[in-house]
Amino acid sequence: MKRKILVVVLSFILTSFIVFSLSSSIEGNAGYALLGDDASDEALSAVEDVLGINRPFPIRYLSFLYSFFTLSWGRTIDGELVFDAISNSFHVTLALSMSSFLIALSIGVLFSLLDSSVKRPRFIFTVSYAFFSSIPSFVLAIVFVIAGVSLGYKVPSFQVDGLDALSIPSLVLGILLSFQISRNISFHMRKERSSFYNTGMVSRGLGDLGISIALLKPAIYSSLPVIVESFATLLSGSAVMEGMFSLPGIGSLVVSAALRRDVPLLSTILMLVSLAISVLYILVDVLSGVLDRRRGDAR
Amino acid sequence: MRKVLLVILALFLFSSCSERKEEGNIFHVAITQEIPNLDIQGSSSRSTRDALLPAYDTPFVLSDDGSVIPLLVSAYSVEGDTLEMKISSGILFHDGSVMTPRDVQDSLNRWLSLNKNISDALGGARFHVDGESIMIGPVRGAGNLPYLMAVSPDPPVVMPSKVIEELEDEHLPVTKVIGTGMYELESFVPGKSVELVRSEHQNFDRKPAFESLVFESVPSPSMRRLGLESGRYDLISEVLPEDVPAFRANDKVKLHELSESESLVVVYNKESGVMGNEWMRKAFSLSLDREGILYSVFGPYGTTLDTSYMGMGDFYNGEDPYGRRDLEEAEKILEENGYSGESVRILVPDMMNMEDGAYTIKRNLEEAGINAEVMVRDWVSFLSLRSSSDSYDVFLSAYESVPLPLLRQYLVPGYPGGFDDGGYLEKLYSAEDEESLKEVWKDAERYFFSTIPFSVIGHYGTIYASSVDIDGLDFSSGRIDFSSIRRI
Repeated sequence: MKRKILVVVLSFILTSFIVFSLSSSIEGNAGYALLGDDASDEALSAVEDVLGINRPFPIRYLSFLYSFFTLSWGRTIDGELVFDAISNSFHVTLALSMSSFLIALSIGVLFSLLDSSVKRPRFIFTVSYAFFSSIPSFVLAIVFVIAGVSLGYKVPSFQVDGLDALSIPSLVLGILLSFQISRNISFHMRKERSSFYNTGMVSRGLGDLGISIALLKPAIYSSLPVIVESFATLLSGSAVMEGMFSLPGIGSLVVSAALRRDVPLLSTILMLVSLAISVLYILVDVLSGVLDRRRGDAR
Repeated sequence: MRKVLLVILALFLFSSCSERKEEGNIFHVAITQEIPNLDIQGSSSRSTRDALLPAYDTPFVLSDDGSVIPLLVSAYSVEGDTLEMKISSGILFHDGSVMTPRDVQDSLNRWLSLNKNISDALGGARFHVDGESIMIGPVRGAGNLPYLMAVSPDPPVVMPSKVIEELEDEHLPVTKVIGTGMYELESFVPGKSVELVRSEHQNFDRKPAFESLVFESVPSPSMRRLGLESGRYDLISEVLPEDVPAFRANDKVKLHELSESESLVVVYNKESGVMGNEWMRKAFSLSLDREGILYSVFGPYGTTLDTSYMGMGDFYNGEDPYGRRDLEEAEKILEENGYSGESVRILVPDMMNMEDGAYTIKRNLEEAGINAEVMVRDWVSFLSLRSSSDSYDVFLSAYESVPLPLLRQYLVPGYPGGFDDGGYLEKLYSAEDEESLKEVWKDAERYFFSTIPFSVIGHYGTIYASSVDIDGLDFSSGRIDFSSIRRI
């Protein structure tokens, strides 16, 4: 047990070192991001002193590590508390991820029911999976926006519409993710169909759709690890949509922090995202273990 | 499982309960660049100026006919080499406090600290309070100072002294926006948006029509265009050349092609490397197909093929002997001086299609037998690299329109690349009036044309596009005047 805890602590310190080193090694001085192109040498020097970016790397790293673990995350280069900057953006990303996830789950379940019920023509499903796996999110988003504008809707703006501005980005992310979820659920449904359990259902006179509905619950259980993983992907992968629709979420904050060389903000977000994804993956492992045991018991 | 789904659904519904705003009273602007900070005094960013100027006033402004009008100053006088300004009484800041001479003194002195070219021109002098007045002197060209304050690209806005005193260092950006302007700051999301709301305390009987102004950073050109066409945005800045034909064909959109002359300029690194040689700079300049470079950056709209430093204004001289393309002459210079194939590193920021201009320059140079490579960097890397003289040989940059040579950003001692001013900057600073300034500038420009510290590629005017529902948009001063706009 002690050894496991030691491994976790060491891997976390290693992660923090990699994250901080990468954030710090991006070419460019944060002073220019803050002061612009006509910054005088005096102004740059003042900013460097205040931000502490002219201190040696080990001191900056240890200071970051201490701040991170004591939850006093310091300030962004703009002087805002890192905690405030993150918490002000988190609810946008959370709302975007959750709404996308619900859309993905709803479409994914419906599509997998259809997929496993319809025997022919199968190529429709194959083509759909291939198409939605390959289409970039920003292309689908621009198609939706153009369609919306031609129907008389306005381009969404977070400043005016609030969280209603998440509708198109959620739909885009949800649709793209739904096919990943659907493919997985369908795979498990088809697997279960050929089993003894399925043979029993056919003998009870259930049709294709009836069998699919009956097989849905075990297939969703089997797909749970993939579903949870897809939520983790949403949490970390919504930056493109946030950037395109000017949404002030975590993805935009990461991009902005990188462009502005805001090392304290960037490193803290990356550490938190890494922590959140690690927790989700641990959850996936636990779920997989529980599901494996249940399957074993059932057999 | 059901419980988990219910919790997710409840959380989602809770997070979706957000406020929608009434759009009729909002003037919504989509800007290209991010607003880096709230400091309008020290930022040369057009987006910062557009978004924050409605919150402030300056001591002087320009009238429609180009003359200087006192605004926060009730009267001013120039006696010898001293400028005295009497401060207007009863001017209120957004927080309800009354503007004092000390607020004006501290604000103007901070403006000087942040603007080295103007500070140098004044010989390092600072403003001081004298009763209800502010004075500065003795300074060279004291009579030009009101004009400089009215036209400076970094406006000398006035804020309460306490805002400046709260800063750890006066060079650091201010974090509070308290001015005397029509609008006050409601929210600032760094990198995303600025929202201003109409102030309770209106000075000068101004009655702005819109309740709030929203400036949103929308980096995607398609989203800016669709946003304007769908009625979401009332104004978009920096229209791309490829969007101009579509906007011209759209009767719901109005284009505003600003007459100002911004410049696309190649700055040579004279401090080290191959471009430290004057002959190499001449060969470089003679290799350039300026028309092709302008086209690659700006397309067919709004450009002027002209190599003068000050654009087509009163300071036009236009006798640049190396401002034409002459490959034979360039090759001859290279051969005579024994060019041995060193590669010229062209540094360029990844904005405004400027990288396309850099690649056109590379092709031009290769046609003249000069090896070249392009270094495209984001804005912060670009600024950092150009401050280090061993990291590049030339950089390509855009500079905004300025009415006076001493406001030219690259004509400041210590500017990246370094340059020998031939003693002309001192003469420009000492010029007593506009006529003598023009005379000095004529000689200075000739000197710069012969030593080639920079090569002007050409000039361009920024294009804005607005909805036809908006009336009263006025860009004549190079800035948006928000006092006269209304929705029709």
